[in-house]
Amino acid sequence: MASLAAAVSLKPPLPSSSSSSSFPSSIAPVSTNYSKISAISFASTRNAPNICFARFAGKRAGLVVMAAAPGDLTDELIQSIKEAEEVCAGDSAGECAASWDAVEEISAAAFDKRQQAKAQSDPLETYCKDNPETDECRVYED
Amino acid sequence: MACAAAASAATLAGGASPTLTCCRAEANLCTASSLTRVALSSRSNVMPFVSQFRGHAVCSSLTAASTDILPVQSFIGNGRQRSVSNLVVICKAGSDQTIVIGLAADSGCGKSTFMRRLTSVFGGAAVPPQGGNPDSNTLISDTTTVICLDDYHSLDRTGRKEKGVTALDPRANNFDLMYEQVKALKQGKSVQKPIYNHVTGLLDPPELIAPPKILVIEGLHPMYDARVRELLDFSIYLDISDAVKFAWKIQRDMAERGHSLESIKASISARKPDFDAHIDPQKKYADVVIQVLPTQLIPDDNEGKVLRVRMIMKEGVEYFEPVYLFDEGSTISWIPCGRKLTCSYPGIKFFYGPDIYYDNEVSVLEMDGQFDRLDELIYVESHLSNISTRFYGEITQQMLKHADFPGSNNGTGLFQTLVGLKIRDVYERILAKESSTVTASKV
Repeated sequence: MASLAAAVSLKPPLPSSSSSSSFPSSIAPVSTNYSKISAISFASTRNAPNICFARFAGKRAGLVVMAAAPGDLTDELIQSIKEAEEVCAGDSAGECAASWDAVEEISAAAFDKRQQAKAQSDPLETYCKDNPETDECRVYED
Repeated sequence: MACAAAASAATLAGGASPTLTCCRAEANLCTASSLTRVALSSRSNVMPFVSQFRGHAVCSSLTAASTDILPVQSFIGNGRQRSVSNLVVICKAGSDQTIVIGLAADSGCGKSTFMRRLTSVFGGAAVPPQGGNPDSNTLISDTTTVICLDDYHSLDRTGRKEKGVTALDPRANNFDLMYEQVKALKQGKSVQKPIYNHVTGLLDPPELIAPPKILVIEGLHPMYDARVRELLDFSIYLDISDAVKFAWKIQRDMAERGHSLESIKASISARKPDFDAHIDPQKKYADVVIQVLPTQLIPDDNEGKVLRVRMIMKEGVEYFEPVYLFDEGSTISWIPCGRKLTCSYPGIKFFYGPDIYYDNEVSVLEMDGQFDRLDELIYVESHLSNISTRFYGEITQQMLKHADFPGSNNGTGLFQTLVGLKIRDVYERILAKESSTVTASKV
């Protein structure tokens, strides 16, 4: 997949801002001031995954590294795609179809996980969407 | 009740364990039930009933709505009338009927937008069973239980890879178990249904499913097996055309690291032969087919954002009356945008007419384009007929309630909501028929 260019201008950056591939994947986001982030674009290359360049309210740009969430299916997905490509290079049509079917299943499961993670952001909001008449969800306009 | 004459008594002799006899009026037979489930109503007079029997079984399909233990209450609980030895349990027939809906869809189980809209029409949110396997595919709400047919896979992911079969192949599914369990649930018995874990690709230990009022079986093969087809009260097939499927899969998977355009293309085309051979033929059995096609309003559109959605409704299905525009059986092409309503590009176009689909007579209602305002939606709703709403504006209200779901501004959301309302209508008609049979047999 071609790397999406980060369309962000970097002001004097933090000293350790080089996007080398040596970032360990377990770094937590360096800044929690998400409200100030006005633009985020993902630079997704094979070497430096999960790093996004964030522009903080025009003042300074920092590097925010989003770690891969535990239980993420991304690695499994990459693995299964590689496997499928290998199997299909061979001659068994049935096994080729089965391995791409497995890729499809894992992609669907990964998508569901992402949706779940999004949905779990504010449990009250999700609950109230489905049950607006309950006491917790009543809205009074005074 | 008609079977009261044949009603046997249960003896409350001290210490002896009583067997309850339950009459099901529609079958006019009395069966001794020693089944395991007791559903308690919130009425306190039922509580002592259970405690007297120390947990012994009552009719399996007694639910709060259907229990009518009228004369029984006086026998039990307060100890005063322990000497009375005859016990008649009256089961009100009809409200313990489970209706089964089949939904054939390729988009994964239970978490799809269709399911959420459907369960929302019946009220309440459908959630995975509490306290069970977190990767369970089942969704349960007050009235509805949605079962994913992937749970009836006979081979797990590794097994399928070894044998070289996809999940679409009938050889990877246990249709005997599917038939047994759906039949049991329809008859009001609980089942231990296996779980297919989509995350690990393994078959997990089973979970207990209680019979609901409405059972929806969603998956790839709801109408494949003839026996299961017989059990379905209503069936729907969601037919996504290849171009739209491709566009959706790109949207879904391109955000995922690891996928490339080629791998997405390859995974769709590798599954296509099995899909065409095993899944596609189920279309002809469905009562409603929802076809999603690329729009005809925008030339050369390949983004798949504007959609043309056709709802193909079989004629002559019991309890189901197709939705129509203007007049049943006529052909009409309708553009609602004009003087009363201004729409933005590309607008909305409707079509309604009779047709023949796989040798069946059908009515087709079609919508091309997008809604972008509330008044467009209410205007369209006011011109559709046979929509089975309980009040004017119910469709609009349902669509607005889920305005963030995909398809809320086009025919997919509209027709999914319509199908949900139609299913509710089928359910109510079946119930009404059951209770009128009961009244007839009382006479």
